[in-house]
Amino acid sequence: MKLSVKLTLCMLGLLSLLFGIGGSLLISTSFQVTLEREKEGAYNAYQMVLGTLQVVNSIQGPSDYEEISQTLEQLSRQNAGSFSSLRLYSDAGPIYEYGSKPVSSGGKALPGSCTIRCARGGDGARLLTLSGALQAGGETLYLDMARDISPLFASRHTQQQIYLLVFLLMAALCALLSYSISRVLTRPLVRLSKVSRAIAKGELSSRADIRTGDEIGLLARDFNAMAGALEEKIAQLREAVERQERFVGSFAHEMKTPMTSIIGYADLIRGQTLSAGEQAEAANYIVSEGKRLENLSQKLLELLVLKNTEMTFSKARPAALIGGLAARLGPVYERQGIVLSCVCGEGECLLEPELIKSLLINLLDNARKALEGKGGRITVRAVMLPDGCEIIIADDGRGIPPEALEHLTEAFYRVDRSRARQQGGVGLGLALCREIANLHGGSLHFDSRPGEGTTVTVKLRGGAA
Amino acid sequence: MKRMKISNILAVLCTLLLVAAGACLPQVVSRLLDRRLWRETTKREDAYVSLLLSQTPDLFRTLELFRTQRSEILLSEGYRMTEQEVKNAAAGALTEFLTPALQEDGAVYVHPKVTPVLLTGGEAPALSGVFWRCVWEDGVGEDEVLWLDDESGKMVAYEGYLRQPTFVESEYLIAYAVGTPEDAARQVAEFCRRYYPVDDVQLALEKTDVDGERYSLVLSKDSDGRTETCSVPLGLRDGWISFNF
Repeated sequence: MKLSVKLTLCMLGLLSLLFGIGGSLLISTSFQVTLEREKEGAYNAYQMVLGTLQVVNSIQGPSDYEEISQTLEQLSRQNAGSFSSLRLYSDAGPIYEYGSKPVSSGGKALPGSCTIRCARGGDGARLLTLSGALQAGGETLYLDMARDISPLFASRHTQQQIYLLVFLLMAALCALLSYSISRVLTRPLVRLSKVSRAIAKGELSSRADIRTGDEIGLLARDFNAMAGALEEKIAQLREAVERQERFVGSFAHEMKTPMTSIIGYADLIRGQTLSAGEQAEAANYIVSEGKRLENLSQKLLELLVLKNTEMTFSKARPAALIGGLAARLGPVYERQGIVLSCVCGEGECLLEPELIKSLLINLLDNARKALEGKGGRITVRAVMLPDGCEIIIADDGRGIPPEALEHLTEAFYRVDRSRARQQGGVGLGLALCREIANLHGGSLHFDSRPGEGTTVTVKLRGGAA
Repeated sequence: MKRMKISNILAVLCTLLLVAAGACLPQVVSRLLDRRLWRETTKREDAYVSLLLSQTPDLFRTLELFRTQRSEILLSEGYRMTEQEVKNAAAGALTEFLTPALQEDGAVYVHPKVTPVLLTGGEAPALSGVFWRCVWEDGVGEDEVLWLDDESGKMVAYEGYLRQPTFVESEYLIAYAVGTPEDAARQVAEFCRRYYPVDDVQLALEKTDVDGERYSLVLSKDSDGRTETCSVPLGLRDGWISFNF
């Protein structure tokens, strides 16, 4: 069942119940109030009749039945609206009777009291009967009076009929309006549902266009935010899968090349057709390719360990780390015509010194390779940050093509595959650097212009010392 | 799926039940109340002493009782006054009522026809009082009626002509007010000042329409440091005066 139908049924049921209670209270209260008024009016008339008889009796002296009847006749004529029937009688029989409807007294009353009750007349009329008694010359006279209250019941019946008509009209209107309103209210939910289905079908960019400020609007905004986050996550996952596929492909390729060389040279040695010199050369190839494989597996292991290791940082001075490294590598670089200069800000921060050394060696080695043995300048700068430090390594080497920049940190990616192989690279150095930077809550950024040089900015945010 | 369908049917049935309950509730409640009503009996104990005969000579209450009376019971005799006393008092009151033009016209009244009547008030507890109805027949079908209080002998109401001479015999003279309705109203106010034991009488025009002018005479008197007032209606139309009717 649709929510709009449920809402309609709820509202209809609730309105019916409340309308019924309200209508019942209104009609019953109105009836009771009118009935009380009728009772009061009838009682006043009764008092008036009884009192008049008393007063007449006190003025004129003891009255006979004839005089009493005359007095009652006058009263009956003048008060036809106050009572519909009246009967005065004694134990001996009736003295005076007025009105066609028989009065049901419900038993003989005692002088000084009046009994009021509702009764049905012989013709089905509803009557309010009043019964009392008075003493007259030592005799007890009984006075019964009835007031027709049928109009009161008729009026209530009319009210009930009007109520029923109004109720049915209201119920129909309520059903119509509540259904319309429910449809309007649930329309955003229907739209949201459509968007959900579209997303489920793969249309990840689908969004709910609901701009209300209510809870549904809030739900739509949250839903859109969730869909956005999911879309981003899925894109990242796709990218990760693609990266992994590329990694597996590159890994297989990296494995295949040295293995082919090793198998080829081993096969030549096994054939015993090579001279001693050639055998030695083949063995050298096998050893060097084996070392490459060993290097590759070691780097991969490092990468794996880094990804799954919880690091503990310690206080360190980046300037000291860089200075130490420059002192060690400076003479080697100098022999290759490379000028290594350092400009380091003083300060301490939290980091893992050995990993940072590894990162710096990788980056300096890359810079060195970029100079292609022609000499040049490598500059290392370190700037302290509030929560770590920034290390910038710039060279004036061959530079990197722009399209290669975004792939630099991918495993096995090499800008110039053949040259890298000649230089002994396996394409895992920058991937390792990225992991180290990530471990320090930082990042790796490359700026390069082909032919002008490359600047690598490493931000380490391990924390202030 | 089957369970869902059953729950849907139940929801619709519940709603229909509520709608039916809402539609029938007033009738059901009425029937229940009626059942109680037919069984219910109320007893009141003060029925025997509820009608009071006004025997205190309080002018304002007497004037009010006459105006609000609901039933008239003809009596065979009065409580205090005799017929002759009533005739004298009625003629005296009428003469005084219409004194200003007495000498100009010189009309004479016949004896009125007097009847003692018990008037019963409409309010609870009901008041009642004995009054005398004094009627002068004018021979053309319009009677002039003056009501006297049996207790005090004072006129409490009058309805009759202002200008036309009506009766030409008897020892009582009648004269009719001449002039505008305002003059007549002022004469009546002056009469009230003289005739009733009051401290002040204020006259105010209430409305003027096809039925003539309707005035209100506010009678006031000091009683035990308090000022009591009583408003008496006065109607004037085509020479016809209606006082406290």
